[in-house]
Amino acid sequence: MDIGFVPAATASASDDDAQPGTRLGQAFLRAALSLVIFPVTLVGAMSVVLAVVIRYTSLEFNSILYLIPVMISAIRWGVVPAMFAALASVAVSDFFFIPPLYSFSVNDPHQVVDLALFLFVALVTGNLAARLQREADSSRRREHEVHNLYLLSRRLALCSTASDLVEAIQEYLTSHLGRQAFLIRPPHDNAESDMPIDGVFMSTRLRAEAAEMVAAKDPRSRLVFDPDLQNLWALKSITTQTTDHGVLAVNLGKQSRRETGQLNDRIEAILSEAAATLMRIDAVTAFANANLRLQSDFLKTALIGSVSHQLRSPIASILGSTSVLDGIPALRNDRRVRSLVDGMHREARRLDNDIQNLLDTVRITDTGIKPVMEWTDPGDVITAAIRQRSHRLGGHKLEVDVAEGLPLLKVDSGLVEQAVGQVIENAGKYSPVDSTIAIKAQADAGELIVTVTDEGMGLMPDEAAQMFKQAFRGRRQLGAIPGLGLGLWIARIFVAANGGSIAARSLGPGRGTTVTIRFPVNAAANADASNHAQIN
Amino acid sequence: MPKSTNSVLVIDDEPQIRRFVGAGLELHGYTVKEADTGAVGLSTAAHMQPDVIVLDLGLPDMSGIEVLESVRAWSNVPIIVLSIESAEEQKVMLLKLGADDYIVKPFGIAELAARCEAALRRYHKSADKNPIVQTGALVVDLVSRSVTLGEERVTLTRKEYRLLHVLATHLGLVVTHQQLIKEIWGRALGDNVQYLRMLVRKLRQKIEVDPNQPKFLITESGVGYRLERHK
Repeated sequence: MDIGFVPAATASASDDDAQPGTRLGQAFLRAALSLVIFPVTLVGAMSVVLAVVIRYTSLEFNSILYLIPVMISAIRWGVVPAMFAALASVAVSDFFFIPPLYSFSVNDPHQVVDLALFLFVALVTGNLAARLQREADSSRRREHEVHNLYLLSRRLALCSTASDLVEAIQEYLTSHLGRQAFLIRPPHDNAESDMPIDGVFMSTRLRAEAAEMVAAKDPRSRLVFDPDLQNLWALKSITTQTTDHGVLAVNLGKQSRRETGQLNDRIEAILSEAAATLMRIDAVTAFANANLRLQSDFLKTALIGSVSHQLRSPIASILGSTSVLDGIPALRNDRRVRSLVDGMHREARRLDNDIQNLLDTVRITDTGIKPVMEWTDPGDVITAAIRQRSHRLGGHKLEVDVAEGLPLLKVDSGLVEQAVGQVIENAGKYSPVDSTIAIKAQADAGELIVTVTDEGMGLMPDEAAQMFKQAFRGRRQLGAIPGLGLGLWIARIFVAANGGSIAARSLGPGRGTTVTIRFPVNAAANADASNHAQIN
Repeated sequence: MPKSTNSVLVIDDEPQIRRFVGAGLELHGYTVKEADTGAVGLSTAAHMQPDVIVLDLGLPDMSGIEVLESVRAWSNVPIIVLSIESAEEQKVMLLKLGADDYIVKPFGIAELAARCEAALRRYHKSADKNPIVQTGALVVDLVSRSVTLGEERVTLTRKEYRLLHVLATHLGLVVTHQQLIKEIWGRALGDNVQYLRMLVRKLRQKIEVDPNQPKFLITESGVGYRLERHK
């Protein structure tokens, strides 16, 4: 077998048997024509011309003219026909033109020398001409091949996807080497084994071999004999570090081993080129993907920047301006103006809150949150959370019950504040004005437990499970209460980022909701903190 | 206060923020000068010698931190920084670099005016040496080291008093954890804020009416504490 090719396990490539009779006859006829009949016919034609010329002019016979058919034969058909032409020329000139006429005997010994000399010259020039022609042919063919390869590599350079590449190779092999080429893709291997590829049925044998090559990640080529079509196939797996693109199958047809070897070398060269291109494509794709990610990250960051600056700044100035108006006694005392100012303030605060939620969402989904853990008093967190949301709880009664001597938590106080604040605000949002919101913090069994209980619309059975998901909004609230469905989701993420958990339960619709947030407590560290502070 | 009207320099690139801060502070009795870039702010600060500077961090030509450091190189003028939420580390750094306090956007003008006033008081207090600090019903005598809440005398341990003393000398202004720890324990406890938390809790039980809803000793999460100023 040839370099680079591994014989397939059972591919006994015996392709020289069982040739059909008609094709043999045709080939024989073609060989006979170009070897003997055409050169001899040319010599005959030359003789007729000579006969006519000699008859009507005073010119004498000269055997040198027979070099013309010899040369033509050499150039057109090669050395052997040229030799036939030379021999035929000697025979014909002896028979028709050299006395005694119409006989192969020669009277004049000079004529014998002439004929022998002619034969010698004809053979030599015929040979030279044929060789020259052969070299011209092969250099032309090589030039053509190089040109085609150049075109192929140029086309490969323009390929931006693996399927472009496979198409280019298929086309090249088909049009320039006269070989059918197919890509057997990995998913095709077993599941759809009888499906045609590009309209051609592949034998199970080929598919199985291809599947095995992909599975074994075998980078070498294989020769496989297809018993159904009696053809020899070259298979080459097209694989890069990241992807298996499939196996390229080239139909080598019924070939002698020698021819197969030459062809294989060329196919191997093309496939190597293809593999290099494929790596480039993979690299380009990876680079493009990375670039895309970079761009989207950049856009997100730009969005965060622009949202926080472009939207929050005007809101900050509106809120600031309302606070200025609120401080002017003449305006404060006017009931109508005051309610307008209050309305502006409330709405701007709500908008600011929504933007904060969007920013938190981007923060969670994009960069991820990086909590800065610090010893925190749970009481401080609850106080801050209530203060943060007080503007949204105007009409509610708050009952705050923080047990004495609660353990400290090592958490990101900002995030936990946000989370508790979201839960409190939610309680206010979904419960009637004047109802009570009870906020309770206690330690129990190594946990710190914060509960927020409202007297609001309660939960449907499915809502308790869904309400901490992103963008979830209960069906009952959709039209009635504005919101983005982000608050509790943010709360869950922030609590989880601090090692805690959050859950909701309700006695049913209209019967209020209790949200419970739990954090684990480090008892040893807490004992240490208390002791140290005792040293006064 | 030595002057009848104090001057404020507002350094902020956003005209709408300057507008309401300017109008609001004028209503609170300040004369206001505005600057829209760090460079203009610095030259104005040098020329007009303002009593307080309100400095926004997001300036177009230079960072607020650079402005802060440049001013601190030649002046102790009170500086209030306009900051954004959830940037605790930045706030702590600004305070360490010499900012007197910060205020988080969005803010109300009364809040900013209170910060300015507190900063001005502290700035002039060092000259006055007024030993009595009062906020609402809470009175701290810095010389006799006595603390009274309304009519009642409050007995504090040494560390509790030390904590209250530091906060009282910064009445209305934030004091960072590290600063407090250093003042109370005399050495840096590193990141061990838990001792401070417990001490604050104990102090609150003595000076607050409802320790769970403190009115005096306010937590600035991630940054420090503030003794709130009440009339």
